[in-house]
Amino acid sequence: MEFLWDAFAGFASATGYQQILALVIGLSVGIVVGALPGVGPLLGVVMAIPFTFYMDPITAMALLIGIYQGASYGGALSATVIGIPGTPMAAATMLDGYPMALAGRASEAVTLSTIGSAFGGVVSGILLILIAPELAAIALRFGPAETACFALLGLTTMGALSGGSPFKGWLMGFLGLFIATIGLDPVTGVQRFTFGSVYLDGGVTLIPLLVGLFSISEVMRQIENPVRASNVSMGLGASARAFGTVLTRGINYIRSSVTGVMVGVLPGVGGVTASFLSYRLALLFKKDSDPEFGKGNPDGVIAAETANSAVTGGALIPMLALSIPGDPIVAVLMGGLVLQGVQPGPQMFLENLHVVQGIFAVFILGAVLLLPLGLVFMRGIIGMLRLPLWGVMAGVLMVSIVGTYTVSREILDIYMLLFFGLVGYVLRKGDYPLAPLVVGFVLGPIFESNFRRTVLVSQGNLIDYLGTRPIALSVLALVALGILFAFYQLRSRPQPSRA
Amino acid sequence: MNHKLIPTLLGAAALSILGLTPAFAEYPEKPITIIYPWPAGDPTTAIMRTIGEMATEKLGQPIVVNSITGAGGTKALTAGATADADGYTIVSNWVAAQVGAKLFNPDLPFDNDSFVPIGNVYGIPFTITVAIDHPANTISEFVEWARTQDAPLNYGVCAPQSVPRLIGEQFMQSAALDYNPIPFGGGCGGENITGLLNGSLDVSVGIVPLTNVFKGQIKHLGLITDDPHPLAPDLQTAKDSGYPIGWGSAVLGWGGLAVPAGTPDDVVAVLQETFGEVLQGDALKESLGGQAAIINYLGPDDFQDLWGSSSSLLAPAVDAILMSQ
Repeated sequence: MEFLWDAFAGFASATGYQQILALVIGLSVGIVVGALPGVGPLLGVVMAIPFTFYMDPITAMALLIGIYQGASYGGALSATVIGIPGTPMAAATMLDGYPMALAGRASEAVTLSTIGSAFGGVVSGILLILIAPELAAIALRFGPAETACFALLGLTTMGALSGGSPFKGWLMGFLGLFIATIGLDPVTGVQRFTFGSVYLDGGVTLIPLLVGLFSISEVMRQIENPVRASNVSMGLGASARAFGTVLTRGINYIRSSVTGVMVGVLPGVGGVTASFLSYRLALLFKKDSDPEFGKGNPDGVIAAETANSAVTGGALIPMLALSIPGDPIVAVLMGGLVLQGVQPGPQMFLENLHVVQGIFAVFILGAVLLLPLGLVFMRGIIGMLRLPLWGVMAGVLMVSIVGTYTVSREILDIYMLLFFGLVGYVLRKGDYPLAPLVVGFVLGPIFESNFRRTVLVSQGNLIDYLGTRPIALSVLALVALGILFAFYQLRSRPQPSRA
Repeated sequence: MNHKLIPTLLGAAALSILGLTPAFAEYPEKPITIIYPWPAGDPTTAIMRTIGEMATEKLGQPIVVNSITGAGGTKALTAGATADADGYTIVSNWVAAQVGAKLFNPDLPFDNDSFVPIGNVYGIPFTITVAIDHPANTISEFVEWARTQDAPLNYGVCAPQSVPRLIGEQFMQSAALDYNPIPFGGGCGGENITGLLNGSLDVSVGIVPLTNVFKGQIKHLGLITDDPHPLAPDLQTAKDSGYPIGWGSAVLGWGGLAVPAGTPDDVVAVLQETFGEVLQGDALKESLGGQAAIINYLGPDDFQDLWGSSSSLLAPAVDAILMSQ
């Protein structure tokens, strides 16, 4: 609790005009990329990374967190107004938001989404501030055995991340693990799969991999098959009636926020699951006076949109406290911190407490600012949906290439970027999910180096050593459950593909 | 109208033209970049920026500190070695990348001859570091304690192919201790220190930190050096404890400034003189305050000798590690 007060006290010192400006820019960019079909939060934060290179750590995180929050919300705008979810996690919002819009209640639906996103963001921010420091304090006592087990737990979610076939999810996860082994062996320093190239000694770096897989492949997809947003209705405004729901439907807001945070903490699950889970929970508590779900029930919009925004704070908890990013977006945020020379994890709460407090401050501030920004710019952003998407994609291509070069000033990184762009395009054509690849790539090295350290620390008695580590053993039990669940998933869905 | 106005204006214009037009081809004519291997947030980056600002005043051209991070500094050195040798790119070299990494990986596209020395900037001593509740308080006490242990010491080294590891193992061998080296993270802070705190490691090689973050959690038992160091004058040295490792100043984590081989001699001379003045001046000490003790200026000749002696001293230790794998 003391930390909560410190965080609030830190608002003034941690956030100057630079941070607030970065936050507002981040939120605005985030809302736009969230609303544009096919761009989304991951692409947004990935493209912003190079710009953070010359900022201080808190300003950098303000920009990235702003984009994360803005994009988590922006998808709801296109989902409601044109019936095309701007992001996958807005698909649940669309179920009732689009029918509301068709019934002439677009303003109300969009305002509900905005309030829900801000509410979910603030609640998740408060839980983040309460939980992360406690977890970090415990985690300071975690050894390599515990860290390895947590990373392993994250890896078992790879199948669940696929959205379609779990088998394809696992396949992509293992591809990510393989790519992560390229470079110098973390224990012996021997070169692995570098083909004698000094460039590959440092391994494949996160930025070219991510930007290539997600931006370049998206550009190629859009060239091939552009998404058109026609019949965009205008004349939207903030709906006063929607604000009343905070009182009349308050329980739904709170339930959905907590659901979102809890799902967010779990590695590898993410916003799509959270919004659908929260939506299903809302089904159980349907008010008799409301229309059916799927036919424009306001509770459906609130549940989906509050939950997917609340995921953001939950997902930051394991990343900041344990240095274990649960999903690709948070992995990029972590990459942004590492670029600044700030290593997340329990040590950060000792070494760089001001950065932690700054992150907390900008997170809460961002969630609050989302409300006015969302309402004020709503009309303009929906107007942007009429922009020709090829123009947007040309911009994405340019920012991707220039940005990747800016980070490393390494021309080979651009070749790497284009290579992974092609890989990403081919994989997406085959309906292979990319998120498990990123989870494998990010968690693989964390697991490997900590597992091998555990073996070394145990001096040859791994089983005896694990017997003295109860936390590691309980996490291993969860890992076993995760693997059982994965097998259950594989068996219950024998058809490996989904159109 | 004031009769003096026009001549005054003309004079001012003439002066400004003179001021804006330096003599032809006088170095430096444009901004100079220092390629630095650590990120912008690192404490040593701030020190390098201060040095850059002071040299800027003397040279009249801005000096930009440009972080090229990755692969333990070898990316920065590669960029430095392959840059145009025109004096507008300076590289911040350091022992682990130029000497250590090169010995472990002879394929790296640089060696000592790829650079011309400007001067050594800093020297950070490595330490024997344990958790705060460890019974020993000095190196001598630690060695006594270690000899009573049944199992080999779990000894945290930084990166597997790093200079701190070489130095730490040299000490373990000179004290005839039984040890089990465990690579524990890239730097000598962070994960190594967590390892000490959670009991995974018995001992680690550390560096005297520039900040007091871990005060009260870990303690430095002594310096793995022959001579005391101004950064930590109270710490016992390995030599005083009776286990000298005999590597002299090569055992410091040294780092300095160099330019690519082939840079014109007159340009090198300007840089050597300018940075020599900055690094030995009182202004730098005042502005760095408590961190000033890491400044350890060596002139170009001494610096180049240090490169050679570091390579020849560390080579057998590197071979021993490569053989053991």
